[in-house]
Amino acid sequence: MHQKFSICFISFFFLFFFMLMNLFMMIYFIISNLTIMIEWEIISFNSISIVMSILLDWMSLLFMMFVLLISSSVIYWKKSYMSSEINLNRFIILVIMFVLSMILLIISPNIISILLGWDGLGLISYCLVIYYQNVKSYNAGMLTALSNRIGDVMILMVIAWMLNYGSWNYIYYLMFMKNDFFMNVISIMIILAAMTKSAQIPFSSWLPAAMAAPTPVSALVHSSTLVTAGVYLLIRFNLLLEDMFMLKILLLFSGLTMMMAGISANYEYDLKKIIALSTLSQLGLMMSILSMGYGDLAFFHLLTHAMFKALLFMCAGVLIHMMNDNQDIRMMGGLSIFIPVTSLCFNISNMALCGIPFLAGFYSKDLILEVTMMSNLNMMVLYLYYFSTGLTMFYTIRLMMYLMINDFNLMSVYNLYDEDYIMLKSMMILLFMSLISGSMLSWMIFCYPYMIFMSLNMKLMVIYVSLMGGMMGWLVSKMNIYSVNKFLMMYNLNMFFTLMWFMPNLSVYGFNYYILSFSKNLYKNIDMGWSELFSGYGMFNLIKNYSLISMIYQMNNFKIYLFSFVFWMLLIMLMILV
Amino acid sequence: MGNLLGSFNARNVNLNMDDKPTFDPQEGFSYERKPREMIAKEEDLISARIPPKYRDYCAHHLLEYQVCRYKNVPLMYKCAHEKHAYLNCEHQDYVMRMKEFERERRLRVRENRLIGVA
Amino acid sequence: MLFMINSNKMFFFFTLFFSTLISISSNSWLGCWIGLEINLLSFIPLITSPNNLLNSEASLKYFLTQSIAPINFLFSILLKLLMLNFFFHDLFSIMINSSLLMKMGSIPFHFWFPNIMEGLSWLNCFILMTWQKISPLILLSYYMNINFISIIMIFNCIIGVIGSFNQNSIRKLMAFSSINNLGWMMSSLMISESIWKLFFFLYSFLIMIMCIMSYLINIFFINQLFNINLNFFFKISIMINFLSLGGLPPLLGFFSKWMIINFLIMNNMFLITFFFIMSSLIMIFVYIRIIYSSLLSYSFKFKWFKNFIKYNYIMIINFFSLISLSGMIFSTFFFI
Repeated sequence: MHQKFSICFISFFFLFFFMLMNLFMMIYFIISNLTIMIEWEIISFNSISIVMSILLDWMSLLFMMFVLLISSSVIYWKKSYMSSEINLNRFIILVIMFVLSMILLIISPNIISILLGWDGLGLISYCLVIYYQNVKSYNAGMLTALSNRIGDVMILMVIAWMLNYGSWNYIYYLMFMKNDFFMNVISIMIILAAMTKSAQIPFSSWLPAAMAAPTPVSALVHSSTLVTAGVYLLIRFNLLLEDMFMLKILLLFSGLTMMMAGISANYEYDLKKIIALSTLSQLGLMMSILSMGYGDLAFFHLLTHAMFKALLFMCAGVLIHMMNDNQDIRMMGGLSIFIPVTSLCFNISNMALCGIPFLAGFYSKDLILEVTMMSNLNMMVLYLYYFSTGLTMFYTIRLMMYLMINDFNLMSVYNLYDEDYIMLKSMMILLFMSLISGSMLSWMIFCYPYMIFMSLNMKLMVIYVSLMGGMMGWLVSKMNIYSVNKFLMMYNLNMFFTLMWFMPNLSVYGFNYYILSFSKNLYKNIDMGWSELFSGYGMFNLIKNYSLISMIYQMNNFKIYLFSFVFWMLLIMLMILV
Repeated sequence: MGNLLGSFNARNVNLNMDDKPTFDPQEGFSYERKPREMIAKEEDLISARIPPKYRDYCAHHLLEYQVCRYKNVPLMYKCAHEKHAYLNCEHQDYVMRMKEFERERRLRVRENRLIGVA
Repeated sequence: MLFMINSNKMFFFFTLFFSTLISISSNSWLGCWIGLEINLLSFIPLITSPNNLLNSEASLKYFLTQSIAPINFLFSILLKLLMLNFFFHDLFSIMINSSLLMKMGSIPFHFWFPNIMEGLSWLNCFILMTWQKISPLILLSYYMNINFISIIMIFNCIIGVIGSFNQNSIRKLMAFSSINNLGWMMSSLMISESIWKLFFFLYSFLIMIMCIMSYLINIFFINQLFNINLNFFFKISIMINFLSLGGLPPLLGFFSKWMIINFLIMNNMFLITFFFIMSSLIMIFVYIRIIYSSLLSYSFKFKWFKNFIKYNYIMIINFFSLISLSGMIFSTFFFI
């Protein structure tokens, strides 16, 4: 009777229950096109009113449902993954706080509570990344936190600019204030904030570095929730951003992110980094389709991507456990023979990532590509989209060849253990969802279906690039020690591609010295300098000196007090008589 | 990009995607052409709260689709027939607009040629 | 406690009580003066004790100052009653107000107040800080010169803060904080008597907790707090009560200050409000210095002994600290 439930199981249970509740509410909300907004007015004076609001419409409920499903699966999976961890309670509390701040971000229609969720996400993801306390984790955590901090600063500035409008509920102002100059400034800052959080081109160095975190953290945070927070924010703001110039810049940057991440993933040999770069590529896809104005398509791809990416990370976690914490894919191989069920999950999620027909990724990704083909763009954007699709297939097939099909490469004794039922059960949930969620969502979300009409070759272009990518992937994985390659001639180009176009250097070696020296000047002159004189120590000294002076007056003869009183009375009486 | 390729030929006559037809609709046709009419009523569209972007000439199929979705929730795959009807109507509308575009382009080319003669 | 032991002191305690009542509720100025004199007469025996030299010196000083003040009061009211024209209204009101200010221990005649507080025991300090202020304040409200008292109350706050900044002895510090709170109380008199009642009641409640706590652990100086190993909840009580006295929301002491600021702003007295708020800020700094010395320092040497406090006093302290912590929330139910 007195059965002990572990904290993982309890939190899994609660999150799963909450998810089911959301599911039913969401179906009701989609059909009746209902939006509920709950407001609590905290304070209102002069022209500012601070209200705490909760916005429940179908988009936020659907996203919440997916976040809760993934987090409940990951928490249950984590019970077996981190079973040898001493401070498991601490870890689970951090994860639950992360889920709570994500939910706060999802349901908030005003900027202040978005800032609370956003900052919470940044801070807790820092705590989670540095969980294994070694030097590499510290560096990665610092990079993550500081990149996210830029986004926080942008949102803080948005809060300041939105004081113009009387309330911080941006939902009300989206369509009406498009021509206003301040709203343009706000939209530029929002786009920058989303770019830092979702790791687009200038700020994309933190996502592969953050793979120093434990794998459950990567599965939850870096696949579906943290990095999609930026995309979600832009989806909310999509009505405002529709016709602006900055959106074209975003299109360019996100397309470049897609391509760069795809290319860099082909040169990587670390399993988690490949998956991180694949996430980065899909994020670029989401952002670019968002910047063309199709917000609901971006949302759709966000949800389906979350499903199979979390599954992919979980499978990668199982593989890393089996390989004695080794993450290098050159050390793995032939796994489809030894661990059939895990490799089933792995293969299905990989194929869903590529857009193989009728899996989850197909509905979203194919729809995005066809809508792109139907719209009025130039050749470079089209090239970026289709080339990146081909690159996706390229690194996916390469990964599958390295892991599943080629010979087994581990250097020492192995323990390929597939029957870990806790991990398998949670992977089965996500597997089921990644199979059916594509079609289920495409029926439910799109009240107004998209009409696609293309010629045969345009339609088959997707298959052309996928096949090309697959063939390239197969060729590259056949590289041996004795194959005839002119490595040294292409050395510079290869270094350019694999080091993510040298962008991490920008955020580490390039600007840092000048900015840090400027900051040192500011600190020495203002914080430790004049500011201490005027407000910190200086004021203390001032009051202390006054107090010393007043104590001189205290330490006097007693008769002087009495005499002063008498003198005062005499003075007043003199005024009466005169 | 498909639209870019489609309007590639029309750049000589300064014809863009958003332009309305400028020639007489009846010119060159042997039979009577009627203007298109909306089958769905205005108050139906307003009460169904369909966004203005989607209130085009195929809106009656859209209304049927919404009704079918509402009745069949959550098994919305049963509405495949209505969705197919709506998408077919949209497709025919797209083809019709494409043909109008082509007609406009050819009439302009012909006009340029006639002016060039005279 | 001390009074219950000694029946002489019990008698003077009752006389003290009734003297204030006489002074407040009399119809004519003469009755007020009678009350003030009986107040003086009954407080002197309460604070003398033949064993302590410092005590008797304090009682002598108290007698000297407090005898001049009511005499001056009598003189001014007689003068006022004699001169029947209204031309000197300002000057007479200033004379009456100044003598009452000296009786209270307010600026500019406050110099006796910290000196005398230094020589009293904690319970006598409590009476001096709270009960002795009632009758002069109410008499002040009967014939107040607003211009004069406005300046006086601003100076009260400032001198209360500046004087307490460099003090080591807790009694003198409480004296200056009492001067500070006198400024607040005078401003509440300008608004209405109900506000004054609220402020005075909350202020004396918090001072009572302070004095009981200091009496129980028998401290008189701040550096004594470093060496005491108290149990955790007592330290938390010290912290809560000092912060509440300083006026930190959401503790109870904030309520009185907030009401006064609210009504002062409603009556457009912004400069006074500004000075009050600034001085309150520095006062909290002084209190936090005391708290930090009791709460946050922990050295190895006093792990070897532990201070025990009698059980029923702990209950009282805990109960009052609870009120001080959650009082504001409960008080909102009374104002619905």
